[in-house]
Parts: sequence; C-alpha cells; structure tokens
Amino acid sequence: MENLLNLEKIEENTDFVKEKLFTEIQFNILKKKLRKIPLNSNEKTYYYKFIKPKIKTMMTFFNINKNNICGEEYILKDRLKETTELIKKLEKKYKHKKILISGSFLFNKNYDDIDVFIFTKYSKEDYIKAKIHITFLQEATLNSLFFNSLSKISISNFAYTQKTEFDISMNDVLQTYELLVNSVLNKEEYEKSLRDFILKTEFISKKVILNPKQLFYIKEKMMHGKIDVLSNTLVNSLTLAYNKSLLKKNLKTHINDYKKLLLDYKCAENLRVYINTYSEAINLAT
Amino acid sequence: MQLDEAKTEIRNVLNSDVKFEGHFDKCFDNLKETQQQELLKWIKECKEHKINPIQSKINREIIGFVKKIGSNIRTILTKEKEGYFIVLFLDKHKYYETEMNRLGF
Repeated sequence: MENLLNLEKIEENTDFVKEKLFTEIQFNILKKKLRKIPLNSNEKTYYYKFIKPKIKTMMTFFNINKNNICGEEYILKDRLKETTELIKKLEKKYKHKKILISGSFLFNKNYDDIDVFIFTKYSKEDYIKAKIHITFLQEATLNSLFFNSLSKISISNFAYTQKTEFDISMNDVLQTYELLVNSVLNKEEYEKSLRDFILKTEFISKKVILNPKQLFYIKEKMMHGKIDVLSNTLVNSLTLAYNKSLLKKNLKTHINDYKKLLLDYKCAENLRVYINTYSEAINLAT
Repeated sequence: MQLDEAKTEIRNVLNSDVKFEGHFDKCFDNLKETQQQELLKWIKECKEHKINPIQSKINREIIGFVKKIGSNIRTILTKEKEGYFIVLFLDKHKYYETEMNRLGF
C-alpha cells in the first residue's frame, strides 16, 4: 500500500495533510516510513494503529485499488485481470519490491512475452520463465526517458510522478544512432537499439514521450533495416532539436575523426554512413 | 579450448598485453567451442582492420569493436587509435550495456 503513496505529493500538501488528516507526529512518521527510514517500536505502533488504517479507508472511498494503472484505455480487458493476478503472485516472491508490468502483452492480442520490471537497489540477473520476462532495474531508472515511456501503458504496485523533461545530449543521440547502424550493418539483432533510437529522436525533436503502443507501431514500421530511413530520421531530429552552430561544430568534429579513421579502416562501411548522415545534417542546418 | 591457452593466443594475435575484463573467464569457459573459435577469428579481424570501429564519445582517442555472441553474450575490444589494444571485455548483455555507457560507446 505504501508504494502507492507519493512522498512528493504529500510534501506538496503538507499544510492540508497536517490540518485535516494527521497530527504533526503522525505526519512525520508517515514521511519517515515513505523514505524507508526504520521506525522505532513507538512509531510502529502509531503507524500500524492510526496512520495505515486511515490511508486504507481513504483509498477505499476513492476506489483506489492496490495497483496503479496507467493508460487503461489501451489495455485489453482480459489482460488487466491477468496482470493484476500476476502482480499479486510476484509480490509474494519479491516482497516490498516495486513491480511494473508493461509491453505489448497489455495492448496486443499477439505477444511474445510478458515484460515484468522489478526495481531493486542492486543490479540482478534478468531471467525468462515460461512467457514471463523478468528484468531487474535499479531505482535510478525511474527518472529515465525509458521508464517514463514504458510506464505510460502499465500496471504497477507503486505510484510515481511522470517526468516530462529529460536532458538528452547530442552525443547521446549520435551514440545511439551509431550503434544502431553498426548492428544493422553487422546483421545483428537491433530491436532494442531501434526502440532506444526512436524514443530519443522523438523526444529531442518534438518533446514527445511515446507510449509503448506508439513505440511498438513505429518500431514495426522501421524494422526493415533500411539505413536511409534511420539516417533521415536522425538528420531531421538533430536539426529540430539543437542549436545550429553547436550542431555544425560537433558534427564537423565527428566527420573529421571518421575521415581520418577511414584511412586505416578502409572497409568500415559504418564510418561512411556516419559521414554522409552528419554531412546531410550540416547541410540542412546551414 | 583452455582459458589460459586462449588468453595467450589473444595476446599474441593482438601483439599487446591486453586486459581481460567483465566476467571474462566464466563467460569464455561457458562458450561453445565454435563460439570460442568465432571470438578468436573476430579478434584477428579486428587486428587486420576488417571490423567496423566505433569511436568513444568520452575520449576521442579511443575506438572500440563490438560483437554479439549468441543471444546473451557481448564482447567489446578497445584500442587506442594510434596505439595498442587495451581491454577485451566479455560478459552478459546487461553488464555490456553498463560498460558501453561507461566507455562512451
């Protein structure tokens, strides 16, 4: 239940909460609990006897159930029930952990696996069991563009504040593009890199955080491995997103580096692609 | 192939005292014989400039070569542009991603 309370929101409404709901002591204990600071026995009594029942009652009044559902309009009805039950089962195995289920399982009749994300303090080995793909993520991921996209259609056992601003540097975008092109040229699996690329380019150029269904749709369209389409997407996004002089300066540096590298690595097709794409972006920005 | 034997061969091929990082030993031992050979062949091709290099965004003097082995194992070979090979990293996908970010690839 505590996972569904949002400390930021509670702090924003301190005056109201203290005036109408809790005493000063109770309010401080609640904040302590949400910050995961251990409570002493006296505070525990307060918490379980007075604070928790009050919150539980309010949640019932407002029909807030144990799970936090985002993008319900996109979620298939039968999957909603199935997911809720799955979270319940997982909560027994991963006690007090934040659990979120997202991905095509929620909105597509056909799906490969069920994407389950469990937030932990330390990195753990992911695994697939039956059709359930468990990915362990560190709590810092909650602030990422990736999380804020995938959580747009999701069911979780915790509350969070959706972020709308992300600092995505030009080099970060170029790095994502370069790795994607390299994977395509090497004929390696590139679905994850492509998702990452689409998310970042959409955000930097239009400030849009795609939801998983939109991302799935665009990804399917771009899964043909046509490098020209990827390059054009990058060129347009870069010119819309960054200051022209900064863009030209950075891309020129990259082009010079890659031209020098090409003297040694004459077969490196990827470097030629990068040089062409960055030259096009400079032309468009001029 | 024995791990020590492989490490010696890799150092000989690269002509460099390259470091082995990630869970290299464990991952190498768990590779199938054919995958081990595939890795060694790829390292030779890196040395012969046949593999696409990528440049670090953090240090422009560093380049790297990346390869996927099977569904979950990844390798990164780093090199100074005008110098020696530095590190051969071999690990599972999750750790590879962290390493790629750390290196600026």
